[in-house]
Amino acid sequence: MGPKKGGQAGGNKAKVGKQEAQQNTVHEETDQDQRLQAIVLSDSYQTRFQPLTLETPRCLLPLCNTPLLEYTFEFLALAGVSEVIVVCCAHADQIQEYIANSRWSNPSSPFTIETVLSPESVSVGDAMRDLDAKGLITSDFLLVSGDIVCNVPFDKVLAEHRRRRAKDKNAIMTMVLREASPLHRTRARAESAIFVLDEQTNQCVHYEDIKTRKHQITLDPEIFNKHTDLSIRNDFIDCHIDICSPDVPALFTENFDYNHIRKDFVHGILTSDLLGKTIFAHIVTDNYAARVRSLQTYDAVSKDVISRWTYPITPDSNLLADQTFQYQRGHIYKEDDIVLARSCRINSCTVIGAGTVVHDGTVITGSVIGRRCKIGKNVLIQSAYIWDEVTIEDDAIIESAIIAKGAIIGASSHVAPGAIVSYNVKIGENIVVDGNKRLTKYPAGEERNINTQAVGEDGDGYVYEDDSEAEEDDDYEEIVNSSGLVYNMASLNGSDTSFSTTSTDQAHRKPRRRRFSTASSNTIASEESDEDSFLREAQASVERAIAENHDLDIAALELSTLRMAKNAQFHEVRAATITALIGRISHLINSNTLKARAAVESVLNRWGPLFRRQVFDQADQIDFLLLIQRDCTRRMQGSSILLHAINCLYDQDILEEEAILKWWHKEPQRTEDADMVKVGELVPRWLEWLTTAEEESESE
Amino acid sequence: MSTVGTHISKEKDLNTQIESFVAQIKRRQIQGSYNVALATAQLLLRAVSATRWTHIDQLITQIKVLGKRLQSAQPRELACGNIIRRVLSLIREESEDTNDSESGDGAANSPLITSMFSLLSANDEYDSTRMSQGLGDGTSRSVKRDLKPYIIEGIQELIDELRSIDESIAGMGVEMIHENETILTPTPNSRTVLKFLLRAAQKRKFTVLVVEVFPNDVEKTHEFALKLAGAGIETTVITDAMVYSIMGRVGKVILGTNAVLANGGLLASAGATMICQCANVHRTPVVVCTGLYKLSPMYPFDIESLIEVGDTGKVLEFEDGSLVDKVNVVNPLYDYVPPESVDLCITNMGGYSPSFMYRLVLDHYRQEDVTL
Repeated sequence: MGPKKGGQAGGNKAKVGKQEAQQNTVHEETDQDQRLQAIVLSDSYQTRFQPLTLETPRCLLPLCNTPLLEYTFEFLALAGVSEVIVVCCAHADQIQEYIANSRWSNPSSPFTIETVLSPESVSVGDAMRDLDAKGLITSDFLLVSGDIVCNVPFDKVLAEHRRRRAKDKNAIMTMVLREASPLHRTRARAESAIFVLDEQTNQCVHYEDIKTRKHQITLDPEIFNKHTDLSIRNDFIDCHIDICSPDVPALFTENFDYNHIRKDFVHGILTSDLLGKTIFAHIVTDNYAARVRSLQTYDAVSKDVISRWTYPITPDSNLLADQTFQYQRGHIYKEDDIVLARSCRINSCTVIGAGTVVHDGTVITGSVIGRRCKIGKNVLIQSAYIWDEVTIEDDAIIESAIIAKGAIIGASSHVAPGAIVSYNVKIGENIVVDGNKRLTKYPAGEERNINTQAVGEDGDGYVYEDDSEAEEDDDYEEIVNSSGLVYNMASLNGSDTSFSTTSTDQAHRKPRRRRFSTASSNTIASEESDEDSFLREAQASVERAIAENHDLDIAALELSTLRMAKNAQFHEVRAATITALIGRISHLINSNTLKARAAVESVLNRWGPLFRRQVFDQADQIDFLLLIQRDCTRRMQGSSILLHAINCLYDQDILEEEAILKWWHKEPQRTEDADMVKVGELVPRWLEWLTTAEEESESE
Repeated sequence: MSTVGTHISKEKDLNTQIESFVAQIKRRQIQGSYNVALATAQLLLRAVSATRWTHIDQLITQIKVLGKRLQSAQPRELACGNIIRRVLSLIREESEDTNDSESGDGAANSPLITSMFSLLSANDEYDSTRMSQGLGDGTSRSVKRDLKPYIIEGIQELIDELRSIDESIAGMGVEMIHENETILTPTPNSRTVLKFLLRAAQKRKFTVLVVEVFPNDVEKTHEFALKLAGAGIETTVITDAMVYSIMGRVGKVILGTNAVLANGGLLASAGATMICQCANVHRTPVVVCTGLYKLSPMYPFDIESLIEVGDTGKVLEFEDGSLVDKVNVVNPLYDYVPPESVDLCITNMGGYSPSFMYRLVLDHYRQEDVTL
């Protein structure tokens, strides 16, 4: 604002030529041999902040009156990033507009900024694959989400990562983890995880999401052979700040079923030790790092920012150009132009934005109040987050709730802890908003009736119901309990304190209950060629998947990691899968459990989709059919299995008609081998049906 | 047209620099009063050379507006404001110089020009008459445009002064420190004190006790002690709690400071007040080493508004979740040391009593610039 005024004053006068050429040297960039890129994922791919995120993207929600994205950018500026790529998904227009108007697009910005649209992505994995396809990543980069608050000086972390990379190209990733006790308020309760780290090198050797397996984790005995000192830790805030090599997006592309960066990617890379990639952790003990990933952490991070854990990123740094916060004793931050009645009380840890008016007798404690709010008489506000332009009428009580921009809370109403009042909702007089209610005005498809019970006679808005239950509910209850924090952490207590074992000798006493029994495969592998060992392992993996009734995705994942590790062809993958599946079918038939047709259908309907990721074009299909045919020669009732399998796979659209015909007419295969001919004896009938069916459909 | 174009681009360029300066100072990428002062002076140098003005008052307003903006980036770092005020007073001085020589009656004014104290006599009335003179007088215009090189030269001199400031203070080290004396210093982050001691060590043999200044400066203390020990000075790092018990054996307390206020009070690292008062009890002299750029025309009416509050994490471990939730921690980075606690201020212009500081303020700054 200042220089503009100055510029105008000077601009009216006669222009005199200048001699001195000015170069911008004030902001001398520290000489870096490598430019550092940063990828900011602006979308969280979650629904925890709904209904607020129905109208605004999460990264633009205000935290202490400053959009979350600002904190992320500020961190990136501190980290010395020179190029930022923001991946936008939901509300991309808002994010793009915000960035275009922000100071980060100015020439004074320490980095160049670019937004990339990735509208189809529904997970981190999708976004990474999209980035990989666009080829935007050229060197090691920083991967963050748009909702982190962090003041860790990054040069050391980066230097360490680069040193490791220089030594070992396979060290593809460094995760930045902040130590914090397990019950720390800033930890997202729903997403805790166990990291198994090598004590000396901080190499992460195992990652386990606690949610998926609550009571036990299973470690590969190999780990104990390779690493003498291990620590198993559950005392980290993992805010998903990662330094990744360009291999990471590529790996995401290869493993198209990876979605989550931790649950899928880290876990996957580490469990498939066949890939040979390593992931390291950088443990931060001094500075602040957190991520706003749930309402509970929104509350905690706000408190941390106010109590200056995030220094110098505090409200009085006035991150936005038009902010005028000043610090006062007791962590009170006030902007200019605030009207406070003489008898109102502002207690510690409070932020109040410009233009806000607070009337007599009101008490505000530990809360954030936005700009241009009107707060009536004798209002009680405690640990609440009140965004801009909210009106709170006399005698209202608001506790630990989020009141979004433009909302109106009627006189004598009570907003209980944990409630969310979304944009522009109007709550009438004498209404009690329960702690588990989320009120919104956002139009959601069908006509919703204004719920007078929830918002009162003269109110406006309806109760928002979360469609995707379960997972988010946990968090949701957390803000309800945020004052008491009675969250169910008891089950984790056993693993709370980090402990380390020094145990090469204990290694083999550990239970071996992993999906990949690498120990057994190793002994065989030495005598076999790679191809054989792949076939054997892949076959075993599918058999195991069938026996233990795994998820289809998991089975596919195992196969694809195996394939990459052994550098196998899809042909071999197919062969192994077919052998396993047909083996299963013939087992079902032989044990008289099912008839041929039912057996084929039951197995292939469940597991057939595996082939979708193995069979791509016509040549593949022909090869695939030949493989089935050959396999069937070894089985009892091979010919009927073959027939039903082809029929079944055709129904599933894995096989195309043309491919089947081509396969059938491939003469050499038919004449070469009597068995092959024999097993195919039933096929002509089916083919006949197929062609007639086709003709029929054509004639129609 | 082309001149207009270059002018606009220059103005843009300057704006960019200002913005990145503001951002860096907020991020504490420019930190410490010396670095801030230097960066401010360099920025002002560029601002002056990029601005055009027809009357000197325009330049002053522009610099004031700019100064306000820079200062508000980090209002608790006084060095920034000090440099802006120095530059403003320099501009005023130059304009008055030319005005005086222009107006012709050099006899009346010439003695005033040489004395710095004379600047103080320039009251508003005096200014306004000169202003009207300047506006009405067509010939004075050309002269005023020529002011630019002088102002730039003046700022350049200011920058040189900043760069050599520690040297001139260190020169006094030998006079201040006796042979075999024990020196206690609670401000290990001060480069001035470091150079002061190192210079004295070339001629004298003495012991230095470095107070740890927990929690903000512990690492710096150790670096500082290492440097001293490297120069052959007998150095001991002591904890803050030990200060009182050891004060009896201390010959002098040497203090660096973040700012000197107009009343002679200091803003030094947190904990300094306790140490100074302890020294007062023991009648141990307290000596402050400070460059004049740290001298601020502000009075400590509201001490809290001058003291920066730092990183809470330095006081309490963040990982301790049970405490973090329940305890409110405040970590002030500076202490206000009242002028009574200080015996001597050593500046680059010599040693002064704290009570004389107001006089230096009047010498260096103009009253009209105190509020930017």
